[in-house]
Amino acid sequence: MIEFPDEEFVEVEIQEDFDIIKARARARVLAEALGFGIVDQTRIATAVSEITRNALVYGGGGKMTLRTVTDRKGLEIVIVDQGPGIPNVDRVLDESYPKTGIGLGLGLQGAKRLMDEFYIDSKPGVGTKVTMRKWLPSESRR
Amino acid sequence: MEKRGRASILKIEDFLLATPEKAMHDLAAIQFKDDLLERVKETKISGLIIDLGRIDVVDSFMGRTIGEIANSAALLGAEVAVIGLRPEVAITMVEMGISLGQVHPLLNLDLALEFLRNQTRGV
Repeated sequence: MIEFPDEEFVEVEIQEDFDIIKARARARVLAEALGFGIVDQTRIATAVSEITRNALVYGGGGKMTLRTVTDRKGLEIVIVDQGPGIPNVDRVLDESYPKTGIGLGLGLQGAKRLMDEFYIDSKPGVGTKVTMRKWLPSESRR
Repeated sequence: MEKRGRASILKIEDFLLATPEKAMHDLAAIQFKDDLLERVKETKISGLIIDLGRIDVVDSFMGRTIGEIANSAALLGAEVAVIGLRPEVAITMVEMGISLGQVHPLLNLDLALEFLRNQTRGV
C-alpha cells in the first residue's frame, strides 16, 4: 500500500501531435502512482488523448494540468485552449443528437463516459476549458 | 518518455503482418495507414494482420484510422484480421463506442493465419 501523495501538479503544453502522446503518458503515470488499476489508467489516458486532440485541432493548442485531489482521492485533469470555443456544448454532448461527422461529438461523449465527472466551459471567441475527474474505486483495492 | 511511433510490416505466407509501435502520434498513424495500403497494393496480398499488442490507447482517431485501413484494404481485395488487442483497451473502446469497421478480431497470430488461409483458399 503506497501513501496517497499530498499534492501532485503536472503541466503539459499541447502544441503538436506528439504532445498528445506526452499528455496521456503523464496522466497514465500519475494515475498508476495514485493506485488506479490498468483499466482506469487506460480510460484516463484515452480521455486525455481525446480532449488534448480537440484542444490542438479545434483550439489551436492549449495546456493540460493534472492535479491530485486529496479530500476524495482521485485525479483531476483540466485542459484549456484559447480557440474559437464550442457552440452548443449541450448539443455536442447529447448522445441522442445526430453527429455532424467531424468527430468532435464522438470524442467528447466518449471521454465523458470514461470519466466520473466531466464539465465543459466554452465561450465563443475566448476558448474552451474541460475539467474531468476520476475517483479511486476504493482505498484498499490495489 | 515513449519514443515516437513507428510500425514494422512483415510478409508472412501470402499475408502482411503490421505491428504499430506503442506510442503512435496522429501523423505517424496516417503515415502508417498510407504505407500499409501501399504495401497491400504492391504485394497483392490477400490478407492483412494488424497486431495491436503494443498499443495502449485506441481513441476515436486511432480507431477511425484502423477502420479506414480495414475498409480500404477490403476494397483492394484483402481480408483484415486484428490481433493482440489488450483487454483494457477493448473495454475502453466498447465504453466509448469505437468500432474498427470491417475487421475480424482474433486472439493471436496462429488463429489469424488459420482464419486468413481459410478465407482466401477459395470455395
